[in-house]
Amino acid sequence: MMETLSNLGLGFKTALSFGNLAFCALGVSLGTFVGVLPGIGALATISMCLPLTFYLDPIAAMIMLAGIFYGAQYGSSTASILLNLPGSAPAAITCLDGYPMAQQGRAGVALLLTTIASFIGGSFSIILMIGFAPILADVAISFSSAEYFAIMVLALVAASTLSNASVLKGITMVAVGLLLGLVGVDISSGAPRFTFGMIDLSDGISLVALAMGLFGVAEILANLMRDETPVVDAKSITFRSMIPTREDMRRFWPATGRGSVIGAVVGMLPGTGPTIATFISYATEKKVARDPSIFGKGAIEGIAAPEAANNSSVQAAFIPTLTLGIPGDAIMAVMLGGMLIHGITPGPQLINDNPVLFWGVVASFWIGNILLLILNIPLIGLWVRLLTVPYHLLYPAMLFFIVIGVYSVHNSPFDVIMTLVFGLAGFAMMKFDFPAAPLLLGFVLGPLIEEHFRRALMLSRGELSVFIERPVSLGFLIATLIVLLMAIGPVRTLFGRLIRGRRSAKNNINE
Amino acid sequence: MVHLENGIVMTNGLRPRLPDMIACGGIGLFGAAALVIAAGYDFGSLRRMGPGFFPVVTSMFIIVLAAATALETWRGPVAIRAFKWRPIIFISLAILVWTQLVERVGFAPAMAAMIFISSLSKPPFRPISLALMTVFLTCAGWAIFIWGLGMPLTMFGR
Repeated sequence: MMETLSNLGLGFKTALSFGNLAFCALGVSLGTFVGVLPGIGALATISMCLPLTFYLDPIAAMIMLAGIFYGAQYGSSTASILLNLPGSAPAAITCLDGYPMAQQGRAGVALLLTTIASFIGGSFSIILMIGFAPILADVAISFSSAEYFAIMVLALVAASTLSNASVLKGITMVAVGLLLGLVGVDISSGAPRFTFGMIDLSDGISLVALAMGLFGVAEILANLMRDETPVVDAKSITFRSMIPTREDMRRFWPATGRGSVIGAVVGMLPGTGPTIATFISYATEKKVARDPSIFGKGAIEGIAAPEAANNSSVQAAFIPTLTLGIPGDAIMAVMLGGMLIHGITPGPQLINDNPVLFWGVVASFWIGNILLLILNIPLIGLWVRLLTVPYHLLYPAMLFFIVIGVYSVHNSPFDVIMTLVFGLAGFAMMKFDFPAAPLLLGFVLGPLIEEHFRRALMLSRGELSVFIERPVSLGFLIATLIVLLMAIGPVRTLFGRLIRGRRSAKNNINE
Repeated sequence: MVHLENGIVMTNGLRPRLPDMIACGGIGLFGAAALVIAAGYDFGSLRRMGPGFFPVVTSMFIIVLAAATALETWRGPVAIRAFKWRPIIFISLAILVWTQLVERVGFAPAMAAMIFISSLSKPPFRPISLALMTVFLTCAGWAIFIWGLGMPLTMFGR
């Protein structure tokens, strides 16, 4: 306990230094600013802002990156409430009750309450992280490559099967991502793979180029094909309109509490990100409500619980990312990639080897959340006005950030061309419902999973049984199997329905 | 036919499935090409894996999964979406031109060219807002990246 407190003290001392505080504030504002803009989701925001942090020292960069991350999460929920345009999958749930609230003229209340719910959810998981991360790191120190391999397999399978799209498409995208992650010089043999003799590819495909292509360029293309974008009435959001009624608050607190707990549990598991957390918490609210028919018509519970779950899960997702070095979802994968670029290798040793960084970043998480709260309640009106920026002004600005951001990583025009290639591929994927997030996760985990698979089998002298002899590894593999079987369930019913459908069609013809 | 939001139409039948099948075929081909290349690398054994082991296994997975996805698409309903060539052509061109100009004739002309070409991707053409956008973004880019972060680019010339 005393140790935790002194560590936290160290963390707050680091995070509260003038420079770090400034970068935290800058990151939070930047993230919110870009995240609010319509048609730019949290992932696109983070990848666009990532290059800006490359010039900072690692601690300041991490603090700013985390700030961008919170800001982006927060900002994209604003767009979903006011425009019914979710920037990301988790925000889609917030649309269900947030947009009806906006239509009833209660957008101000919805925005205020989602801000508070986000803050509570985030804070809950930060406290959990302070207590839990060091314990998990202690356990993880004893993990060998077999365990790491099994955890990563679970993460990849869970991330691809639990999304909205088809399970097969999700897993296909994970495999494509794994392969793309292998491009470059193989670390253990020194042999170049899939480089086609190009020096630009010997370090592998640039993460920033891939993320910006899949989530930036593809998004621009999709938006340009949409015919009309909805408009908001920015003037309707005043301070007075933000004041919730007593009845609102009575329903708000318990829902927020449930959302925070669900989010934390789901967020900590590998591969289950905020999307699942928000889904589960929304479903739970519907179950515990006395009158489930209020949902979808502007229920307070319907925005408070998913929003708390969203922030709580993204925060909890930092626990496996920082202590095991295994990101749970695509956003965490980009964050992990950012850390690796700064020379920080997250893993069980991070807490002991670099306590200033670890605790400084943890403390800055909380400061970031507080700044977000202080910054956003008075600024809601301003953020809302941003939503009125027409798209014909927005997409050249996005293009500008994309090309210069990618270019700045290695000063390489080649990377920018790669971004375009991934953008076109990402657009085609979007069009045919192949999800891009599992691809990104596969890309980041590809080299890691290969390394651990190799090492585990080298130590076991080629015996595959090593993965089932170790209890932790076996446990994760069984969990993977369960997730897979659960995912096949709907496929089976689909097949069943098809057979039945064909029979009834035949009957129709016979009649 | 079932009409969904955003102009998406769910439909049955063979012909509307063709683009989806081609997409699966494309992924399958991607896997096959990777397999051919990876076959040239040292495979090694389970005990001592070569650089070819993981790529070969992964690309085989991709081929199988692409085939399975194609089968799934064959059975299930399929969506038709709005598609326009215009944004694809002009956004691609805008980015390509930027990459070719930025190190040869400078940051400012590259930005102007990119913003001008990208504006062609969705009518109407708005010359005034285009000019203002170009000036604003070029100045902001200079301030943040060249002056602020010290990126090795020049505004004009190489």
